[in-house]
Amino acid sequence: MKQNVTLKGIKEGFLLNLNDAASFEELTNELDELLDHLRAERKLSGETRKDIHLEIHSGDRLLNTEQKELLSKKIEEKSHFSIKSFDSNVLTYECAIEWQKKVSLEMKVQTVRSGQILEAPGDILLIGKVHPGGSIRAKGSIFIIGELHGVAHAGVDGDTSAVIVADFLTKAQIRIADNVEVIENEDEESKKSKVEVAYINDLHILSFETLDRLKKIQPSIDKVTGGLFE
Amino acid sequence: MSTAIVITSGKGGVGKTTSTANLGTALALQGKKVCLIDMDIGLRNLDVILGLENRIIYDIVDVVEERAKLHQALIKDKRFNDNLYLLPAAQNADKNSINEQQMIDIVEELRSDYDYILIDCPAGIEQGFKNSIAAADRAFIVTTPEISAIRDADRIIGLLEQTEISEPKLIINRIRKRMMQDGEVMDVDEITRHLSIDLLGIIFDDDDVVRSSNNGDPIVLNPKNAASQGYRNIARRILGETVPLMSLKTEKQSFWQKIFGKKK
Repeated sequence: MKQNVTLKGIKEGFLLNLNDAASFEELTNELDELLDHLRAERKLSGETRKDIHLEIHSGDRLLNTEQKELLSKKIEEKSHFSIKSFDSNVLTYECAIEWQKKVSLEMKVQTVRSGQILEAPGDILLIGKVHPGGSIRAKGSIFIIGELHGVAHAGVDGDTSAVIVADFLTKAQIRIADNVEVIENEDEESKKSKVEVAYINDLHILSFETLDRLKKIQPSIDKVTGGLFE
Repeated sequence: MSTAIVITSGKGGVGKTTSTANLGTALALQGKKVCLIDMDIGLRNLDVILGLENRIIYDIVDVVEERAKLHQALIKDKRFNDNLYLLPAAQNADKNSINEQQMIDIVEELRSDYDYILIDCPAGIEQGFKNSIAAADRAFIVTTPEISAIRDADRIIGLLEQTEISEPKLIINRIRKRMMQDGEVMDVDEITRHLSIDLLGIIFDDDDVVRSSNNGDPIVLNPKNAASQGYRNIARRILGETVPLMSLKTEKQSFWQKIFGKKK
């Protein structure tokens, strides 16, 4: 008979595979057997290690919270494993949408006027102007094609890896996470239009660089990253 | 002892914000510690006239809703060695975001640090106006020689009489010498008598006021300008000096001035 619950050694510790074709009842029964077996073996060997790293992978099955709790309870009671993560090959529709929003670049074509706030759950690309008194706030990075005269706040939740790419012309205010920079240069040189990238450097200071340095500053900028697995 | 002064008018566009910025600057230039409060929540302008717009991080609504401490929201105007501060209004909220008690609390907290607290009142007589006058000890009414502005000023004075604010003072703004001399508009005496309150000062209409505001510099910084002198005189009167009213007489242009344009 093919086993539905298998334990496999991995680099960090162990991986518990739950067969997605089996019923949940079958899984829990087999898990009980496996845990009992392990406990007996543990007693014999005199092994005393605690908090052994365990990842649980449920294949194409999505475990709900109750099921996860049940499994966690069983494992914690009967073994010395400590569960680091629940993974599966699938995810809920809501979760996928949420993730998609978080990692995709939202595009807006509009003028942000005084008193208006344009907000984005992830990265945002604005094609249009931000007037004085208007602000654009994103949890991720901000890219602006057009003039920025108001406030641009990237990484509003504290993400210091967020960047702002814009034409930092005059009179704008730049914020990344909790760093603030006011653009006040009035000399002729700074009045020239030049697109730059604002970012938080290694010393946690908001600084500016030319666009060709963007890839060096933030190597993963053009990749869809993060957010899906905890 | 610090004094909180509300600058109000009823009608919009008569120069409340410009007057607040200039009087605050003039008092700061006299070495007084001044805090300006912009109460025009939703349509703030005082920051723009002072050229501090892009330095706003927190505003008065952030303070009221406890997202920021009062001192964090104050913006220092670097030009006047620590003498001039601005508490900006919020732009994305409305006038009902604050109530009278919260305004009183803010002003009370500022009193210990500042000699003068100037409150820039929004146009109208709704919540914004009520908040602005709630914490004030004195009131300056700004009007222009236009009948509509005078009518609104009269209404405001009536409303102020029902409060504890003592003796509002009048500032007549945007005076065009020639029109007043020719009797096309009410003159200074008529306006003052009609409103029956004390005159604090008069400000002549001058293109440079707008030009200067556009650059974020209050006109008071230019000592030669006529409007600037008007504001400086008012500041001195606030400090207790006796300063004579400026003359309405227009200088006759000489033959050479007519040819070569206005003398600088």
